Amino acid sequence: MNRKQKYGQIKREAIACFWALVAIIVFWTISGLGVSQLNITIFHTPLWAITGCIGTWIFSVILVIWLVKYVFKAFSLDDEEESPEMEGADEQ
Amino acid sequence: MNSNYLALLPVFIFMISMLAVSVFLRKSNAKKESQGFVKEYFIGSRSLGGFVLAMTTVATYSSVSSFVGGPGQAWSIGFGWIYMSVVQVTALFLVLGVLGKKMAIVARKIDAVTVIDVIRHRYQSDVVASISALIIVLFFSATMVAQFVGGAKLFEAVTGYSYLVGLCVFGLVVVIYTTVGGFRGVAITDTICSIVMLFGMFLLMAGVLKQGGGYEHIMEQIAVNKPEMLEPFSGGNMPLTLYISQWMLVGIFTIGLPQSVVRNLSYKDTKSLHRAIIIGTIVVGAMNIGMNFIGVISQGILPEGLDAYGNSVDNIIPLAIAKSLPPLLAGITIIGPIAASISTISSLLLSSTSSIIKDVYLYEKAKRGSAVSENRAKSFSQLCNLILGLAIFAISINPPDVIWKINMFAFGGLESAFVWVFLLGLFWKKANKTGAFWSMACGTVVYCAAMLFGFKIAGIHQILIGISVALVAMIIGSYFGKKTDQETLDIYF
Repeated sequence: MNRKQKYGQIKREAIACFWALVAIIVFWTISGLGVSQLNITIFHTPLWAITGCIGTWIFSVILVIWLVKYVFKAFSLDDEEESPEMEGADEQ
Repeated sequence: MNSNYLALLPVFIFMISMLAVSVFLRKSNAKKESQGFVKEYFIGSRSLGGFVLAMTTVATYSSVSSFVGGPGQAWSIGFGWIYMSVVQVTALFLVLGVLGKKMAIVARKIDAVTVIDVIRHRYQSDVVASISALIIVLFFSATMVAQFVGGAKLFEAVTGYSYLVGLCVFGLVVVIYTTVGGFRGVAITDTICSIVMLFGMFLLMAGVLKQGGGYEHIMEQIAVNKPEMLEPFSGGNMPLTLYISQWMLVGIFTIGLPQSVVRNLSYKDTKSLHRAIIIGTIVVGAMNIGMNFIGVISQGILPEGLDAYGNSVDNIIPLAIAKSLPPLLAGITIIGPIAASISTISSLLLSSTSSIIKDVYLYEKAKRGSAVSENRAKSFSQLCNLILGLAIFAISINPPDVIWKINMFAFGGLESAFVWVFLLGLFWKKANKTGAFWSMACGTVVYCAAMLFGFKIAGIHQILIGISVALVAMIIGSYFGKKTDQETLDIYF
C-alpha cells in the first residue's frame, strides 16, 4: 500500500466507525427503552435491563470484531520508501 | 469498621509490587533509553502491543468514580444507571479506530512524542500549542487531585486508617513509580491495575450477593421496596436528557480526550491496534456493567434511605465492601478502586510532565538554537515529574474549593477544547491555525462559563454547548483564516 492508499483506507475505517456508532445507538435505544415497553421480567430481572445492558455490550463486541476483520486492514505505519522491509512483515 | 493491619496489608504489598515492576522495566529497557531518552520515557519507543494498549487505555479512562461514585448512583437509580454506563463501550473503537492510524503515521513522520507535537505541526502554530499545554496541565492537575482524594477517602472508609495514611500509602508510591518507570512503566502498571480492578470487582460482587441472601432475594426486595429501580427512567430520577447528556459526555466525545489520544502515538503496529480495539471494548463493557451492577445489588445489604448512609452515594461502595467482606478480603477488594485511581494519576502525571518538558522547555530551547544534552533532558524530565507529582500530592492533603470546580469542568472542558482540533485536523483539509485557536479558546471558555452559571439548552448537559461552539468556531475560523501550507498538508492528506 502506498501512502495515498493508506489514507484512503483510514478514511474508510473512520467512516465505518461512525456507522458502527450509529448502529450501537439504534440498538441501545431499541433493546433498552424499546424493550422496556413490553414489561417482561425473567430471572427476577426486567428484560430491558438484560437486552439493553448486556445486549448492547455483546452487540458492540460483535460489531467491532466484524469491523476489525472485514473493514480494517493491516499495513505498515512507516513510509514504504524509508523501510521497504516492513511492508512484508505486515501483510500476513 | 476494621482498623487492623489485615486490611492495610494487601494495598501495601500491591503498591510495593507496582514500584518493583517500574524499577525492573526501567532497568531492562536501559538500552532503548540510550537510543533516545525522551521517546522512551514519554512514549515507550512506540512498542506497545495490543493487550497492553487496550488495558492502559481502559485503565486511564476508568477512574476512581467508575468504582465509587458511579456504582453509588446505581444503588440509588437502579438498572437505568447501568444502561447509561454501557454507552462507554463506544469509547475505545472511536479513539483508536478513528484517530489511531493517522496519528501513528503522522507521529512517525514528524517524530512526535506528545499530542501537542502533532497539534503544533498540523496547525503550524506555537500559540495553539501553548494553549493546549496550558489546558492540559490545568485540567489534568485538578483531575489528579480528585483521584488522590477519592482513593484516600475510600481507603479511610474501608480500613479505618486516617485519610493521610491512605494518601501516603498509595499517593507517594504512584508519584515515585511514574517518575521511575516513564511511559512503559505506566502502561504495564496500568495493565496490572486493570486486571486487579476486574478481580476486585468479581470478589465484591460475590461478597454482596452472598451477604444479601442471593440474587433472587435481593431482586424481590428491590421489587417490593423500590420498584422504580427496575424502570429505565427510574420514576423520573433518570430522565431522557440525562441519557443523551451521558452519551455525549462519556461516550462519543471521549474521542478527543488527550490522555487517550496520546496512546495512538505509542503502539507498535496496526495488528496491535486492531487487537486493542476488540479487547478494550470487551473490558470496558465488563467493567461498567459489573461495577454498576454491584451498586444495584448493594440494595440487598444497604436497604435504607440515603440519610442512613451519610447522605452521600460515595459512601455506598465503601460500606458495601466493609459490610460484605472480612478484613483481608476487603483489603484486597479496595485495591480495585485504588488501582483505578493510580492508573489515571500515573498517565495524567506523565502527560502533564511531557507537556512541560517536551512541549515547552525542549521546544523553546531548540527554537533558540541551544542544544539540550541527553543527560540534562533526562534529569529535567524526572525532576519535573517528581516535583509536579509531589505538588499535586501536597494539594490533595487539603484541597481548596477551586480545585473541585476545575475538576468538575475537566472532562467536558478537555472534550470541548480538543475534539474538533483532533478530528477535523486529521480529516478536514481546510482546518487551520485560526480555526483551531478559536475552537479551543471559545469551546473551553464557553463550556466553563455555561457550567459555572448552570446554563443548559433543552436540559442537556453543557457539553452540548461547549462542543457546538467549538465546532462553529473551528469552521468559521478556518474559512476566514490563512490556508495551511501545502507542504504541511501533504503529510496529513
